Amino acid sequence: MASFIGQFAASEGSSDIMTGLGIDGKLLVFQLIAFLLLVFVLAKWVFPIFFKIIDKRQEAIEESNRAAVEASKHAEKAQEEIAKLLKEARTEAKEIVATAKEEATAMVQDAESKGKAQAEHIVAEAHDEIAKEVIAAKKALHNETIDLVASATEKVIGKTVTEGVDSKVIKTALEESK
Amino acid sequence: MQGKISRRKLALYVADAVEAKRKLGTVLSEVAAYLVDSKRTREAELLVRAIEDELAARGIVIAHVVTARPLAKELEKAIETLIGAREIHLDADVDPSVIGGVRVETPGKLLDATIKRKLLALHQAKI
Repeated sequence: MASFIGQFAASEGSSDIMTGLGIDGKLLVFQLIAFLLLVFVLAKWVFPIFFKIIDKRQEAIEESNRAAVEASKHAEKAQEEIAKLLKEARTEAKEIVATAKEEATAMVQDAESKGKAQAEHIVAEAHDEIAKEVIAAKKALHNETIDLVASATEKVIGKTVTEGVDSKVIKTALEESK
Repeated sequence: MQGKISRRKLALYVADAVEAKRKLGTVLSEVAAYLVDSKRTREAELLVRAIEDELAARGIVIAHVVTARPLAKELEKAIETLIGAREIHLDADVDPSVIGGVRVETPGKLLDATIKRKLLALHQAKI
């Protein structure tokens, strides 16, 4: 430290500032040329490659961004489409449910009316059957009564018809047939 | 061989004989012999009906009367009056199964007023 300060103090005394600052002019020029050469080389052959890569990268990023935006738009559209489809599906489902309900109601009503008609038919048939049975029973009773009456009459009359009664019967029959 | 004599002709022959007051037994014997000869004895009943029909057409009625008891004269008269023909022959038959009443059958007419028939009608009134 002390040497550096000393050197600085010594340079103050000289006229050449460059020397005082410890800069070698020749070396500086050389370094400057080397630097410029480096810059030239870099600008000519290296930087274009980097710039190309960077540009490509940027393009890829922009492309990706555009794709992302596009995808986002597609996604939104798809979302809208899905929402629309869902809405339609819900409407359709509601319609189907309503139709099914109506059909079920109609089926129930139809079944009820059919059942009612069948029950009425069965009742009517039963009534008919009963009426037929009543008529048959009446007929049987009628016939049996006639048989009984005829048999009884035959037995009673066979014993009670005297000659006088028979003559009266014959006379009446002959009178009636005139 | 002689042809078949029709029933109508035989009936006319007998009716003529009856009207002519010929001996009926002889006439009937002839007809019966003919029926036997011509093997038509099965037609006897039909021939009798044909003769009765022919006689009825000429005013001679043969009435078959069936009663449960023998007919009184008064009733016979009443039956003859009812038939109202020129000459009436009653063929009375007693059949107790008729129970009572009378059955008079003349050619083409029938009066069945027997109790048996009425009872039968009652039986037939069954449904």
